[in-house]
Amino acid sequence: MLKKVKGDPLGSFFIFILLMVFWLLISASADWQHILVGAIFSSILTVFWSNLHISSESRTEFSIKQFFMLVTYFIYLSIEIVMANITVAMIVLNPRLPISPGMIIMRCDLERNLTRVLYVNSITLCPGTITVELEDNLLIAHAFTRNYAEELEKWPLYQRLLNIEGEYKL
Amino acid sequence: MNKMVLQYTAVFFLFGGFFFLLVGVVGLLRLPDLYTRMHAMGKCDTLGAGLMLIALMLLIGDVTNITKLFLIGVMIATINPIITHLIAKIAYNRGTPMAEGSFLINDYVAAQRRRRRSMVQEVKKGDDSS
Repeated sequence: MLKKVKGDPLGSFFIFILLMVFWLLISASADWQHILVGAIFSSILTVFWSNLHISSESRTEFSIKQFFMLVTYFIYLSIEIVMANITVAMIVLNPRLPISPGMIIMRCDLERNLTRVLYVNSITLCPGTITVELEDNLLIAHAFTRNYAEELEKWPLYQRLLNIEGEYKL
Repeated sequence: MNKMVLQYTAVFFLFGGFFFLLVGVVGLLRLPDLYTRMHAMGKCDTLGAGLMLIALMLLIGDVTNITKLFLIGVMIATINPIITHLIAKIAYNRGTPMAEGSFLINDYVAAQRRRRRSMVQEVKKGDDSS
């Protein structure tokens, strides 16, 4: 049996708005019939989910400033993805294959789950490195060339993530 | 005229995606060991599929289908690094050998020491100012 938890009206309303926006994007028509059906099903889903996740104790703290920081983070991330892919293409298509692969073991100071997941995934996507393991604050990564491994510590996006996390601690 | 420009940019994005997918496959064939192959597949597949999806979005130009294609792109961009990470982690834990001449940098202890030193300096600065 599901345990009844104390509801969170603001969180429920936010979930409802998100579902309605998604429904309107999928259906792409603003008849009253579409809106009515969408509202009914969004409210049913919100009621079901409120028993599972939406409680005022387990609400994720997230401020508007952090949202804008995350948006700029994703813009820089996409630019870095394109740059990393071009460098990988140049290495792979080079006839001499100038690689010197290896492992780097380093420290990761992030604590929140969201920023940790973002950091690991963007390391895998970006600068010639893939993560192999992340235990508490031990990060093992595999690098394409030795240069990338040494640049990984002073990666500017890592500083951005630290700034996003620093907003919580004030 | 406007449609021509749109179609040419779509073709540009399509060929960009094709190029990166091709680079991924060439890297899969050329690179020496598992980890470096994961580099080629994990990175180039994401951008290649993403560019293809952008080209399709430009060609379709319809809100519902653009939303669906965008969701597919987000799923690819999140699932691909996770699967890359899983394969690399399991290979590392099972002791899959790396290519010859691989280096190993262990910066963990040194980073901890640097951090402790900087914390000590901050405490000293605070004492001086107070």
